[in-house]
Amino acid sequence: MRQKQYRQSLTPSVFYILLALCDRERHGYEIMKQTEYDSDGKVEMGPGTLYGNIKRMLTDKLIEEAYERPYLVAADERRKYYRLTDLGRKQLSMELDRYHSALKIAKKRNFYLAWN
Amino acid sequence: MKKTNIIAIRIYGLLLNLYPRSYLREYKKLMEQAFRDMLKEDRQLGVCLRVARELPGNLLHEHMENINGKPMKRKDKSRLIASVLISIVCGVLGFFLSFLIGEGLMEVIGNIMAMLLMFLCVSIYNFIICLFLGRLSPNSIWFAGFLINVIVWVVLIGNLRGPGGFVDLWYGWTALILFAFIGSFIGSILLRKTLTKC
Repeated sequence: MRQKQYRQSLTPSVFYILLALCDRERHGYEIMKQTEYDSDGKVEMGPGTLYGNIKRMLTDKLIEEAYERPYLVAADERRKYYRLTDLGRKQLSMELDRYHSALKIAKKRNFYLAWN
Repeated sequence: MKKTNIIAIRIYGLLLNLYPRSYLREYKKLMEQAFRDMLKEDRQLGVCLRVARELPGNLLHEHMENINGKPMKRKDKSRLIASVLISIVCGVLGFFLSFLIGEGLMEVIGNIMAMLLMFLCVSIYNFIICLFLGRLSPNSIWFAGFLINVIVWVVLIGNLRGPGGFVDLWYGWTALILFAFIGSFIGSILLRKTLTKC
């Protein structure tokens, strides 16, 4: 049921968290900084919003805790690191596909150029 | 670390206790760590404002999720806001109606009888409002019952010792509030049972 819901759309916070985790595992604060950077400061999350979303994403199996961190030399043992699951990766790809096709339509109709 | 930062971390630690316990067990340390990291790198005022802005919404969200065992949807949120607004209006209306009726009744049937009748009326009133709000949004029922009674409390405390107030006895008001709570909670419990059966 929840998976079906995610297929429809992702909230901006969930989308940017997935995007932040697409290249490597990160801990909470890293996710916050990356999210802010990726969204040009448009999505600002505090610890409450971040961990609220993380909790729900863990339940929905979009992300998982990364227990082994072999290639992270400077990994802080006190922190929890998170990474994308296959389902999370799939959801992110689907969302990006949706944006991509919407962008193509907007370009085709010259809206994109006029808007820029 | 700056002294103001240490104070901010302590205050944040205290505020975190407002979250549900199950949530805190898992995330309290991580949230405190993230807050510390934010304070290290960003301006203190900006960090505190951001946290203060998100706190009420997150608290509500986590408590509702904790009560219902599932995340709130957007539709649920708007219903919850509507229910809370209705409960505020109903609470105020209920109090003033009972106040007006009670004052008139006192002259006719005496203080004690009027008070007993008022207890009953407030209980029934809260019971009905809770049932109605529960139909509108089952998620909001606890808040609705709580809010109605808080409003009654606030108005009553303001009126308690005023000369010519409806009843200027502490025990009278305490009993009234007790009945109001009983009405709300019986309404809430009955509704939850009905919904579970459905």
